[in-house]
Amino acid sequence: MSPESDAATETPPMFTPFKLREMTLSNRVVMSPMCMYSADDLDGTPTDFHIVHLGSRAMGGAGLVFTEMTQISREARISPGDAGMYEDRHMEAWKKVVDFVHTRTDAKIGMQIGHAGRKACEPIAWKRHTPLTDDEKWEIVGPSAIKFGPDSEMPKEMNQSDIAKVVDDFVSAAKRADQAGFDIIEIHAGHGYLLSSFMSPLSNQRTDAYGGSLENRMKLSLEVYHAVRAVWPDEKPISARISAIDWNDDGNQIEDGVEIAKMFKAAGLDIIDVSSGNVTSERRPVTPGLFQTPFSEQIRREADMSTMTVGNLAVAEQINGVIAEGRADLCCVGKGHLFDPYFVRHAARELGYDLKWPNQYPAAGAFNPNPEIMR
Amino acid sequence: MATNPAAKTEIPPMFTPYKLRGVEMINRVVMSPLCMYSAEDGVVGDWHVVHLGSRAMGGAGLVIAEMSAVHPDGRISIRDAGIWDDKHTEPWKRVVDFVHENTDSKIGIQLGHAGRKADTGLSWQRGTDAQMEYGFDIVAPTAIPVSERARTPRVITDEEIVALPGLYKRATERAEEAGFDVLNFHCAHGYLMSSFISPLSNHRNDELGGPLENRMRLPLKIFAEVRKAWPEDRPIVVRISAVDWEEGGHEIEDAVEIAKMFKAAGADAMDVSSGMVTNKRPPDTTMFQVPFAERIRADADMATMAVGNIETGEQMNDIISNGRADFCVVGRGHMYDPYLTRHIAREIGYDYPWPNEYGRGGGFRSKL
Repeated sequence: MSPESDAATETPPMFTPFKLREMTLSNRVVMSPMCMYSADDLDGTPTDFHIVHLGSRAMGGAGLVFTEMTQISREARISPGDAGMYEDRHMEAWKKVVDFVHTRTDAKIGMQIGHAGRKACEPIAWKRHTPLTDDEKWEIVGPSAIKFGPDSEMPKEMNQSDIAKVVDDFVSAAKRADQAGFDIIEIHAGHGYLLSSFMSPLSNQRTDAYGGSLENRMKLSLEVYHAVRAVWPDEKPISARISAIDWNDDGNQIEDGVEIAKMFKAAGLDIIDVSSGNVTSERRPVTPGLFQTPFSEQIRREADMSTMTVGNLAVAEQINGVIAEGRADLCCVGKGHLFDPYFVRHAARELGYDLKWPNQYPAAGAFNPNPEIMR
Repeated sequence: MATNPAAKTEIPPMFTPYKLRGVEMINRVVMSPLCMYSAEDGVVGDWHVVHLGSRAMGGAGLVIAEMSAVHPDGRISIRDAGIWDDKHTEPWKRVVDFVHENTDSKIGIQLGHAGRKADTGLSWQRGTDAQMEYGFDIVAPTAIPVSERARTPRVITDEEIVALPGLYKRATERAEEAGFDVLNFHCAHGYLMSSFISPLSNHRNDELGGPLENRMRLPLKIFAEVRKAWPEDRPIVVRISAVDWEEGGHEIEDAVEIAKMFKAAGADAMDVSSGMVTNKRPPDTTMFQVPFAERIRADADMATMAVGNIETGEQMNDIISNGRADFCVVGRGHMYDPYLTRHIAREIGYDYPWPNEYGRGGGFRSKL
């Protein structure tokens, strides 16, 4: 984990291995979980689209690729087309994706599991202006009856049995993820989805044990973590994605982000994936730089735990900098992987690092791209 | 065919559409058929869905699936893709459906028989201790090995010659059933059809050997059978070795004649490669085969695809706008970068739409 040990070698920092429990990643680049809205509409089963999407990016050299936020129940979906992990047929279909990654690439593959909470019933990304019809909608839930935004559905305040079901659903999804062979699981506790909405005072105004103080607002996330950890194999790590700050004066600040990380760490969490905001419909600020990396850095230092940073990482130089400077242990690249499935291979070429090509692509190493293409 | 829609518009030449029979390619970039050595008993699988699917997503107007054997003994290796059995159709259909449902690309398949170059192992095992022979029954027009180290083929029997058009016909029917848009008839690189065409490998004294007309007789007979079996509105492209790069072998003048014969038989375009008919290696320099595509396009007056070390958008735009070829076939570049076409579009400032799922990819700032 210590970046200093890399200094002695010729390997660029981003291409140094990283180990969590018994999972060793060959490098520090992670493909971010990204919603694809391309599962079988009717039942959430991943399709060949997911094999191509994840398979080609695993071949592209990332040390770890994450599935999109995969839903723990049908009502947990953000949108139609979301992939699920709440039926055995989902597990079977995901297993094909996992097997491809394991047999054909050096990458590891993780599943992000989540529940959309009060952000459910959203239209898919490219139909943002076409709200779901009444037929397409389902009852949505949250910690309190507060809407995510003016155009959102009103969530039903969850009762104790709703909460118990959510914990059970996370556990079932984790069991299936293990059966499918995933190497790591990430619990989505960021971006205003269900667990995040309990953590943020902007969405959680409960007066019971799940609301009030940060400890109380963290109660559900920690219950989920403990229940998942109990069924997830010891040798496999668990991550959680959080919104380190809410970008709102009344919401969580970075000091809260650090406390949240410390509580997860004390519970045994292996690594924390540090994003921010999106907890209300007020969007987080759009800035070109590594605007979330300071949060990762502060959490890594103050909570003394491994972190992933995410947001606008675009070039190898930045990734090397983040790793070498100890600002994070892993770098999540989302947009860069949409733009270029072979993002990591092309970064290696740019750095002059010799990353072995698959046997099937022997001539790739000899290709002389116009240097302008990849920059 | 000789028209150049690019000249009238602002669209970069390589991004202009081009139609062959009823099939319109949205641009001039073609992914070359590339042997993957990743099938099981000829059956393609997830590897091929990912390989071809991600490259079709990457924006090439046409992706061509690897040389697929019309007979198990016509495989280069035990892991070659096949189209000799009905069991191959459904797995290919899965690949085709993916491309049609998720991308704007067309997809073709290359039909082939390795002839005297069969059973030469997986490319990454060739010349190492891991290379294995599987005892394929290898055939050729004449019993001459492709190199000193290679096994000597036996002469293909008359019965086998008579059966060949039927094998190609059945393969064509399977390709249609799988939904492919384009056929690529492999008559290059020293494989069976090519070995009949080249005087270096064909020393026969019968009506299939001797002058070029005779050496072309079997490939043309098979082509006619394939053309009959393939839907009228779908094109057939023929890959040839334009020159043999060896004394006594073909020169470009022969290739022009070969192209004219295929054109007369109904071929829609020539996919102009060269050499590999013997173990003599071609020079492998930048765009070294483009002059052959240009010459055939001019002298045989037909559409051509240029292939071989075409690497940049600038090269492709030059080839298309100068009428040197109608398509640019890119192999190596697609190994290196599945999204080659998208990345070139970005580079030259052409607004090429991204798939819905990757909408945010278009906004990626790849420079600091």
